[in-house]
Amino acid sequence: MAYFEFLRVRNVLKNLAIVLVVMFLLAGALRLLHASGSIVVGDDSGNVRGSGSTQVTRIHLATGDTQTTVDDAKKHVHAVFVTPKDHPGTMTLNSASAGVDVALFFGAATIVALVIASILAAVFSSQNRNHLEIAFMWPVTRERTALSAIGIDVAGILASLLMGTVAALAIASLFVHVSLLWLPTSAATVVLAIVAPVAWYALLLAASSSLRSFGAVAGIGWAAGLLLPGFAQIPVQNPTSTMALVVATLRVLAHFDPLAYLRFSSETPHGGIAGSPELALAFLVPLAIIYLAAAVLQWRRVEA
Amino acid sequence: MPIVLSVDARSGVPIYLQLIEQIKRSVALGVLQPAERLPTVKQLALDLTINPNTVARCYRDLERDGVIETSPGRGSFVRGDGAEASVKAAAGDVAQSALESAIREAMSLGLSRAETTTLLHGILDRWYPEKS
Amino acid sequence: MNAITIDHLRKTYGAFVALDDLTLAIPQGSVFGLLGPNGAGKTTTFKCMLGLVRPDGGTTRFADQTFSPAVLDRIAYVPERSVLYEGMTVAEHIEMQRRAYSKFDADRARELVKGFGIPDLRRKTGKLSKGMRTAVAVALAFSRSAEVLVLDEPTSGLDPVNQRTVLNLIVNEAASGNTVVFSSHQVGHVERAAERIAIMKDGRIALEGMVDDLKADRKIVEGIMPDDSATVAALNGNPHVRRVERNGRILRAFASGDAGAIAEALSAGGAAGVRIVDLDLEDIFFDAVAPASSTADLVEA
Repeated sequence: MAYFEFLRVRNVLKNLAIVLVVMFLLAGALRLLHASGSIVVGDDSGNVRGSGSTQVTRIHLATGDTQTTVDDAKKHVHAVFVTPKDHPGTMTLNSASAGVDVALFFGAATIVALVIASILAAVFSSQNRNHLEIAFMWPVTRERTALSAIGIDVAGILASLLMGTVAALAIASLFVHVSLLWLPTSAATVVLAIVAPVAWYALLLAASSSLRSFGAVAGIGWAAGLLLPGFAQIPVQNPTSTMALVVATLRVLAHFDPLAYLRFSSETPHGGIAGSPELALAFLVPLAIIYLAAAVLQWRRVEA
Repeated sequence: MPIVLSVDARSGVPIYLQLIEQIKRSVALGVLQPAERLPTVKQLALDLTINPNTVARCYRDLERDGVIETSPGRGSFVRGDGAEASVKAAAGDVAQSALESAIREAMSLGLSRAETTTLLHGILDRWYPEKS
Repeated sequence: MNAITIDHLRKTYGAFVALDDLTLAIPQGSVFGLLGPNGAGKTTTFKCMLGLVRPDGGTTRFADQTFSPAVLDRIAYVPERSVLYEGMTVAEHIEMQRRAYSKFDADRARELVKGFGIPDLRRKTGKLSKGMRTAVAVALAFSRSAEVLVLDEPTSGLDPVNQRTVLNLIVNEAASGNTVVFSSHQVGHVERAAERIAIMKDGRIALEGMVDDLKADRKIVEGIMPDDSATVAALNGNPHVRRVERNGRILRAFASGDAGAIAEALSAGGAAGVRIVDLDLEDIFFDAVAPASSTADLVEA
């Protein structure tokens, strides 16, 4: 029913693929430029010490070079440095493998998904410009047309998330041997990476459903979406001042901003203003549903 | 069908009347033979790019005037029986209509009945010369 | 049965009244022409009919059913301006229609598009000329086997050959028993293809009827009076005389029916050279929307 949207999403994803491939090739070029010996660390190799779970072992090779091995079983890090005998103050990285939380890659890909989400959210406003005489003449209810288009867009957002994750993995693998870690926190973070762009899409869609152009919504949306969480964090000295009132209002508003729920770090992934990913989801899922409903209810009342 | 029908959509004369006139004329002149088949309503409408109901009305009136007959499923035909009568009737209709136009024109130009009659006789003498 | 019944349709945009208590009935299997100057409300009428615009009052029924999405499968619409997706090719539009409508015939669509002279179906519609886009929209609409076709200026931008093709398509649909409603500025086209017309002006219907009846009915009875000021008393208050124009000694009575009697009255009233002038649809149209010499006034310095 929303074949036009299927074609559009396919086109957007095709362009995304090209962009990601180019990025990969650039990273590859970068990697090749540093192929000789990769990273050189200038340091007195004698000073490298391990702490906590990290173990540093130093052996002297038959060639006269010194080999330093850094191991951290907990973080799944294994790096081998060589100090050539004629360059005693340096360490050259020979090989490394790193354990990386899966969620980190999803986190990086979230940026891709957010951008794609904001491109796809123009679907209703672009119909309103001059295509309603086609879209509103399908022999199905307008709600069905709207939901079909939304379904295709959400699938597109998920696809872009996957594409971004794969690209991030591929690029990281150019520099380091990656071993994927699935931490207890990973699941919630991955789900957050899926839901947040969908909620972002839903917000922009709801804001533009009755309009004929998307530019203003995209511009204001991104600016407000990015700035609002920052403003909401401003520390306030005097709790009863007008400043405090403004910040409090902004903090409330930030709860409606999907971007405010995003914080990724491999050790302690936050849920942004919500505090934990699980709590963030508890806010984001209802927000996404409400925004989508608002979008559909608005769009079906537009006049051609 | 050997005859060629044409319509002038911009004429003030309704299209169905134009068609009736042309078909009657064809019958009178023998271009359309008795028992000859006319095109279907749909075919004629498409050929002339005119509304099918206009053609249908024309055929209905022609049937009413006894010039054609329609049998469901087989189409419309120039009347085979009483051919002479229908031909004569058709001829009479066409001629009457032409003569009426001429008389009306003479009247509008201000000719009296006597003047018109004189003219008419002159024309009749020229076109229907009496063989002596 | 009526294919479309419009009852007391009303639509205002702020203070502007686009449709003012419009009532129309379009019989099934007929070709109905909607004429009118720009801004008369033809496009608004179509959009209200099809639910694209919400009227402020009145109802529309299709074949005596109230409007519902399922009915749209039986109706094909060609809008006034191009609404095709610029980034999609002609072939993709055909595919889109095929997926959406149950009786869409993709082969016929391709055939029609080629018939209009569009060379490459893989061309994006944004790259086509205005006329070509109209042609694509028409081709798509006529491949639907729709019972009702609503066409808003389906010949605009088309060359004469393609215009004739569209007319033939309309006639073909009528001959197959389907209903066609179309608006056009080409009065000649409407004259040929339509059996009924309505002339709209300022959101209302100024004149409606069968084309043949209107032509048979409306005549100008012209006579030359003895002098500039002589009048014919019998014309005053005659319900069949819509208005009388004088140009020096020439008197023209605009008659609705009963032209013969009016001609006799003129002759009896002293006019010479009385004749009855036939009107074509364009004349009838001008008379209905711009009477007297309003257009001539603009031309003369």
